[in-house]
Amino acid sequence: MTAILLRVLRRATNLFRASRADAELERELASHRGMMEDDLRRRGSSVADARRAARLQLGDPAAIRDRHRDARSFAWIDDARRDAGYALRLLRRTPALTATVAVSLAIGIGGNVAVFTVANGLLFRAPVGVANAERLVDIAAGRGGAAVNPTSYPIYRDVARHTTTMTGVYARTMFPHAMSLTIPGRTSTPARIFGQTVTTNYFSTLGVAPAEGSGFDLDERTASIVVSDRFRRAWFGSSPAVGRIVHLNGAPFTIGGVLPTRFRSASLVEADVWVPLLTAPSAHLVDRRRLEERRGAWLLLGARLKPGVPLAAANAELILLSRDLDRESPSGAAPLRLVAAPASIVPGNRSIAAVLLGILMALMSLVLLVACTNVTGVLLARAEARRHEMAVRLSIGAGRARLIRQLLVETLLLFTLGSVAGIAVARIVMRALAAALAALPVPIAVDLPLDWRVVVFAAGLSAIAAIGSGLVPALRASRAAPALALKSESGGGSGRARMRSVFVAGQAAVSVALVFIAVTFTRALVFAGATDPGYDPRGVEIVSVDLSMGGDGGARLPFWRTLIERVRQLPGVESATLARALPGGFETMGVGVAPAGTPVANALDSFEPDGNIVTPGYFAAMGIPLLAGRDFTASDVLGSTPVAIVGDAAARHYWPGRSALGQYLEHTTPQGKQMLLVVGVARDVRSSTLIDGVAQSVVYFPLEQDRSGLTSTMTIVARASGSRSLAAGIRTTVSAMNPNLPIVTTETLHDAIALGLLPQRVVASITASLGLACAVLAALGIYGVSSFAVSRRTREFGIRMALGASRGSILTMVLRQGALLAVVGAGVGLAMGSGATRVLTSFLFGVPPFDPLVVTGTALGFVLIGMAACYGPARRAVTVDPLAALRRE
Amino acid sequence: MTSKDSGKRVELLQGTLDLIVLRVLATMGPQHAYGIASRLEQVADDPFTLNQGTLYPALVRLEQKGFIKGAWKTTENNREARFYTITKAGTAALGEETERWRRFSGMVNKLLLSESE
Repeated sequence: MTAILLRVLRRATNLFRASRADAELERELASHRGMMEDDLRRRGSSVADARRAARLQLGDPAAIRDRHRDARSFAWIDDARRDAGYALRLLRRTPALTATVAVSLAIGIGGNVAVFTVANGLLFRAPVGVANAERLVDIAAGRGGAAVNPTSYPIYRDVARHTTTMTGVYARTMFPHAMSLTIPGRTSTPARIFGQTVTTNYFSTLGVAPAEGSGFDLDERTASIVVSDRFRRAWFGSSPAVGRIVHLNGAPFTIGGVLPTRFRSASLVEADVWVPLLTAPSAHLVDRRRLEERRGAWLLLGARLKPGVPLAAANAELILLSRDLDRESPSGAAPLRLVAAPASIVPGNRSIAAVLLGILMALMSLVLLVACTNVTGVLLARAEARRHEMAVRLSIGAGRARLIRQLLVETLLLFTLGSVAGIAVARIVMRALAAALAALPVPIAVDLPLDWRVVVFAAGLSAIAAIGSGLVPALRASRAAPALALKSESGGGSGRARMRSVFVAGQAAVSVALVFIAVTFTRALVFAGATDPGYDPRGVEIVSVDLSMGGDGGARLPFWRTLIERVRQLPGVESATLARALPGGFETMGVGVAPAGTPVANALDSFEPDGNIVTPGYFAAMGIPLLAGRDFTASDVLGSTPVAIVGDAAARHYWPGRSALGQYLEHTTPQGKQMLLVVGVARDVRSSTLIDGVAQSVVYFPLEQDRSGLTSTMTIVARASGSRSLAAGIRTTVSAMNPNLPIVTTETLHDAIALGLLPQRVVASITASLGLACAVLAALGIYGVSSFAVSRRTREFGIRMALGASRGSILTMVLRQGALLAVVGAGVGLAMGSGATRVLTSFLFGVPPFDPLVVTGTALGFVLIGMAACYGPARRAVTVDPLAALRRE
Repeated sequence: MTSKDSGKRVELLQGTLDLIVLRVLATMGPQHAYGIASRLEQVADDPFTLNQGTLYPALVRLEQKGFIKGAWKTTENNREARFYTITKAGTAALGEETERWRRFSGMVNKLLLSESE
């Protein structure tokens, strides 16, 4: 085996050292000749005789060189090199064609590579620095379908204690949270960083060893944290960080370890520090009571499968375990169902991400298909033009396989150009995406590198595309029967004409379908948040304040009360209010509500409104109309009747056909159940999340009656009376009340929504520009192929005219034929597009019905393009003198 | 050398030249192409002559298979020439190929003799 490899290697190196090997042979032959001459002279020959005899004896040097070359290298590689050289010359001679093809392919391949890069980063690549990532699993509480929900600390302890199929069971919060950082002697004002709460075995299970220090202390109650390398560099520079004391939300922690540079995060959000779970309450990261609550839903578990144990075995064990746990300590809610799935940086959202990326990939594949049909069209046209050349080569003895190979090499070369350009396009898209990600309010840790998977994907894709779009033209061109093709270049049989027709119609179909889908998709995305969000974001400024960061656990309510009072006094403030969550943001708050009197079995129905905690005046400040009832008032306080305001959709869902006013909602809180009187119905606001459903209804609770304890972070919503910015004034007010309080965000609501819609915006603009690019590409392709087809018929038109046909009738005939093809194509495209849209809408909620104007406009556009493509060349053809046309070919 | 002579040049069977070259190198030690050619002429019976140029493709083939190794050296007459040495792999191949040739030629001989009777 090695011997063969060695030989191949030697031959290959010989190939590239062709000239050197030739020179060496020359030298050897000269020495050979010299020695022979010496011998002959020694035997008495004259100098001249010896020279002649030696030359004869040795044979023709050119022949030796040829046979030597044959022996030392692969003939086929040499041939391929010659083919490539010929193809390169050909491409250089037709720069317009080469550019068209390269640009088509760059768009087609580049788009696919870009989507694949994202898919690779999100779905396929293991986080950098994690050992044997394929053996890691996420464990979550499943409910209903494949949804992944976090679970609680008691359940974590039970799983860790009982499992026999997994080792190193750890728990972590779903995402890192923002927290304040102060370092004694280094920072003057608190900085905002992101920290993830984990159990102390987290890194040993992941297989990530700290680069410095020993990591977490074995005692889970030691206030010792692990920091990222980025954090160390940012705050300690080159001085040692291990052993230093930092304050997180005011509580002191010792740095126990620094992670290696290459490890960023095992989830999507990048963290700066990792805090032991049991010490988190001291930094107000977790409410201590939460650790005891079995029904809580805030921790995601993970573990490593024991060697040789398949995932299915772990899941089988988890099913039994869930049942046992429910029997031991019934939670009263829906039955526990623990599920293990391969670890992912987007746990639970993997399938959503896969569906979205799948849709994008399908769209991109259609773009590539259009690009390929373009290329096929161009190549077909060129193949026809080259029939003469092929016929000549065939008649002087070239093998047909050889010709096909030549043509395929040309195509492959085109596609190599295309894929290189495609990767360049993908890099540009990725850079734009990276810039967009950097603008998000949380640090995103997703690597989108150009790794081997991406390169293999791009190369494979272009190879398939090249063979797919190059083979047919190659076969057709090489089939030229020499005698026939040499005699007459014109026309071609009915088979050729039919092929061309199918081609033009097919291209029109794919293009129309693609534009159709692009339009639908874009409209769905735009619809998801842009048009009428159900509130008025103009002139509203928002400032988020996180009290847990100030190290001030209690006395929240008085603080909020004073704060909002002071903000209302600021000049330029028309109205100001507080809210727990904002529409269109990333954050939603779950609520446990059901209409009073609902049987327990139905308590967990699929309708789950979002929750929000607000102060009086919220609806006015946000511009959300109240459809019935009243706003919260200053008299809705603890002690008075607990009240709630519900969204329109929730009201109609809970009390269909009845007024919601005066009805009661049963609200489950950590302190038990309570009844809420519905005092108002608000118009629904639009959420920006595309997959969840467009209009998520909201149930509002008054801040003064809050029993959920979720009020550590609130957002000041202030509507300005003028154009003056309020942010600076609000900032000053906050710091005047508590100088240690970092302000999480300040921005206008408009920007905040835009940020929330960013992913959709990006996708929508990509799709829209793709649709446009596609339409242009397809138009070019159709124009090229039809005009070429018509120009080939010049001779036919000459005959027709010689036989008495008028110019007008020929023009009409050509236009009719062109229009027919385009109409058939557009019809098929519309059918394809609406079929695909039906599939699309099953994934996306609230996709509006298609816009008949845009779609029929597109179809009509393609018909016109098809006709225009026929008209130009046909006109030129019929203006030619019939005799000249007949003689021309 | 006349055209009559060149007509008598022996066309060697495909592959046999490689075997012969290996044999020569194994017997005589390192040799240059001319040396190999001279040895062949010396060994062969009267009108046998070899187109010496055909040695070169054979040499490059053998070298690529790793059966021989070439290196530039000076002859005793102070000319530089490429000397070929048989390698271990070459010696092994020589043994196998010789055995195969024996069987093959034996069979051909037998066949030719029995048919001519």
